Amino acid sequence: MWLIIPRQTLDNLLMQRLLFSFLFIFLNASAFALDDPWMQIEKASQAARQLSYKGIFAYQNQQEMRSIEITHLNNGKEEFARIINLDGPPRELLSSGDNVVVFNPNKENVRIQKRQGQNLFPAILPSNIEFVKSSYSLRSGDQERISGREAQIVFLDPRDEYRYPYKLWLDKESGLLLKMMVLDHNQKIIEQVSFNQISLFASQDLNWFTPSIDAHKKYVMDEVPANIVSKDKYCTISNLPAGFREVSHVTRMMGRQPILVHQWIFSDGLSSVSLFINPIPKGQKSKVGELQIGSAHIFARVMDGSQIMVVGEVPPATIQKISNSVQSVSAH
Amino acid sequence: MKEKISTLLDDELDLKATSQAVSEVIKDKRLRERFETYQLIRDSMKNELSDATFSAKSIIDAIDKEPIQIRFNHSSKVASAMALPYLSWMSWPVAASFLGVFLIAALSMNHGSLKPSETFEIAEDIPVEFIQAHQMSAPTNVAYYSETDAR
Repeated sequence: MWLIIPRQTLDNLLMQRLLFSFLFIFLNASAFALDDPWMQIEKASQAARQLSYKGIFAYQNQQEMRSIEITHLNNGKEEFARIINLDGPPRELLSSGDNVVVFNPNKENVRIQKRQGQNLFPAILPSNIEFVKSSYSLRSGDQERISGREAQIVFLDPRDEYRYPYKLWLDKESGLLLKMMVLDHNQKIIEQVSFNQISLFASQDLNWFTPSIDAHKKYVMDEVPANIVSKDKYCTISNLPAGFREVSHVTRMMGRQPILVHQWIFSDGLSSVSLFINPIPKGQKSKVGELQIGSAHIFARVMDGSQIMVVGEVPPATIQKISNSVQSVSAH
Repeated sequence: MKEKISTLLDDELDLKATSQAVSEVIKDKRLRERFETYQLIRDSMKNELSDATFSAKSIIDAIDKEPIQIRFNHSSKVASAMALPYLSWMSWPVAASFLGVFLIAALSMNHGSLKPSETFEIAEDIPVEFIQAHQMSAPTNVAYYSETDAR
């Protein structure tokens, strides 16, 4: 027996099948995209910048612990953030776009300092994750609740001994970084940041965007020596640790009897190291040795009458290798 | 901008404008000076004018003019041996003379450490300025929250 189907109905059926096929392919592609663990890192990087949120988190390293309140708003055009230290001196940071101002109130006055923009928690993941990919491998872990929200654990394992492992807790719903740990190679915690409470909001109201300082106190502009982009090579640098590349090279005046210091910043996308070099003035002692303060390692040595100082939140091996990457210093 | 600074000082500027005004003031040296002048005017109007105006630079200049303090070597066991219980049976003049002898001995024993040397260990004099310069200019700064109160 033949079933007679009108041509129009047949066409509709074909069209429906075609639509379902497209939808199936699209969903599969989306699922594939979400399956790529690196997409989670990219999502976390965007979430910290694009979402509006308010919360309190704890920062902890081997020496101290502090509670910090953050309010972040993105109105579609610009980012606004207010970060308040809840423990210790009531320091506040207000940023709008790349403009960053720090307010340090004390008994007598309020010191105001203009700073350059930086990636601060929870926006510590770079927008471009390609450099991170070459230095770290990524693997997914279990799921855990952080600050009342479901989070996916993601590990960034270093491909060599020149960087620390990272453990990240990413909000399953929004992708926002809720908690992070920097560990040493024995899995001992070097530093940790974790939200204790967090909430997302949709309001575009900016009433909160003002420092809570005593308006009757004197304001003191805290002079920060200007960084000048250096055209002078000053020294030859080669054989840097794999994955580290030069981010900037500036000169600035430093010290009580100010002298010109060259500063290079090298980064692998997550961690960064500063290399300082300056000629040692006559009659001034040079600095040598190594030291750890909080999560930072510092190494100082002398070469051809120049002071070499390396500072960074990286393993001592990286600091040593960057210090040794200075091959020769030009005569000054 | 003049009006902005004035209203900023009188707390009449709206919130977003406050931030913009502060940013602009910090950027421009002339505006900064004007800001300080307005502040002076405001303070004088409110009879809050202080005798001295402190700035970060004047404090650093003052520190530079301070005499250098020489610290004794912490390893001096002679100093720790000078314990107070002796005073219970010693008279003050005797104790003082002993103290004098001990101090001379301590100074002569530490003579080597007081000699100027070409280098010193960073562990003895932490290069805070370099750490802060790194923390302020690194592209990513998780440790911003732990920056010392030295700033």
